[in-house]
Amino acid sequence: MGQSGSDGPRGSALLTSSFAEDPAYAGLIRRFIAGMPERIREIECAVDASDVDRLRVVAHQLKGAAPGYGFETIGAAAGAVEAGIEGHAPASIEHVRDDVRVLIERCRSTLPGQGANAA
Amino acid sequence: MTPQTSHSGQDVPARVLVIDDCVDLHRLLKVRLGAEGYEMIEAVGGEDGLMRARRDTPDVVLLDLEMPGLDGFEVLRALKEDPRLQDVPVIVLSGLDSPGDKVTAFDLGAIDFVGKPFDMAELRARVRSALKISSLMRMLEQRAQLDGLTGLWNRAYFETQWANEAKRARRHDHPLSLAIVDIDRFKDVNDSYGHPAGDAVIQGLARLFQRELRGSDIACRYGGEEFALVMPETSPSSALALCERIREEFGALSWPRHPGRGVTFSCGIAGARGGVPVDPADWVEIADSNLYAAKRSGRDRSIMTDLTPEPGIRQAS
Ligand SMILES: [Mg+2]
Repeated sequence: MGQSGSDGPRGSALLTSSFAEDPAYAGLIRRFIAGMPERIREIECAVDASDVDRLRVVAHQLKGAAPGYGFETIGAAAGAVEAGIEGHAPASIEHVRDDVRVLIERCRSTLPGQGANAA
Repeated sequence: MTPQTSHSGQDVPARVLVIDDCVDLHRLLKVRLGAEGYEMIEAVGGEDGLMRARRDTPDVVLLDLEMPGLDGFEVLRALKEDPRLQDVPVIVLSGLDSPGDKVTAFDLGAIDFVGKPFDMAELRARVRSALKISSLMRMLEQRAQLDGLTGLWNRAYFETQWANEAKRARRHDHPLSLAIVDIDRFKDVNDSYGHPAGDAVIQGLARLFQRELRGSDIACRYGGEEFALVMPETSPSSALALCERIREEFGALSWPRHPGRGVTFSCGIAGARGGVPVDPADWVEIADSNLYAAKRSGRDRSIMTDLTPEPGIRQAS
């Protein structure tokens, strides 16, 4: 069940779903990964616009859904972003900049050709 | 309507309504729960979810809490306030997982609470369990409203349904009729041929009602040998014609336990061709007094009162 790939700060090997061997998930995982660039863009836009509310919603949803596709570490990273925002009132992007970086790296490492190997 | 023992969930696939603002989650559940044979309905927000629930009456709802617009708590409250939807089990599926959120969800009527992220096998098991519980609840509720001897609705059911039908007919200015039927000299049957013979007569008449009444009619065992027939969208004259047909059929039946002794019934009818300002209890009393008039004037007959403004009394025998 373990996920392959390290989550080191400077790029990483390809992150694959823990359900990758389950044929029932093949199509689901493919579509989930296909949506990844859009999800990353959404996170980056929220950060650029200092839109904490938007960032929290995206993180909240990823926390809930990514593990269902077998990407538990993405769910955990998204949970950290959400918790970081909720732990500060009023929250600002600055409070979660590191957590967001980890989240984006993990999202990006699901994309073939985006990991350290390709860099 | 005569009682049904089967219910949804047997031959028809159960309908699962997912209300969640996360598209990834819909995609996942559609495939993974859809594979279980459920009919999946998607709503991406609270307003949409309520609309779909009202339109499609699902068998179970999976409800997210955190959504823009109408949130999950508000949707849950609205579902539980809707008489048609309040018994639909709602499983809250949420990333909010503080004890306070859980308590609120259960207090508002959720049947279960599953935190996000969730394990798919566990969610599937919880959906199955919610469907099973709600089907057992339905069965219990229905059984409490059924008469054991005949399988018709019982008096308790009659009381609530009659009040509802009377209210509806008045509001929409629709026809409605009520008949009260009593088997003639029933005590004689019991005394002469024994209680099993009496039971057979009661069951025979119940079968006749089940065969002759339409789907929208409600046949109830009102008391020992007394029955009440609620006939929505039926004018008093149509109700009279129907009861007369049943009365003639019943009188012509031959009974295996007493082949030489036929049985008859008397019937009191009160109905209206449109909405009338008559209290439901008074309405029952009018039908009842017609029944006693039928008894007094020789039995084996129906007496009807048309409650629509120019009232008239007609007798048939
Ligand atoms: Mg949500």
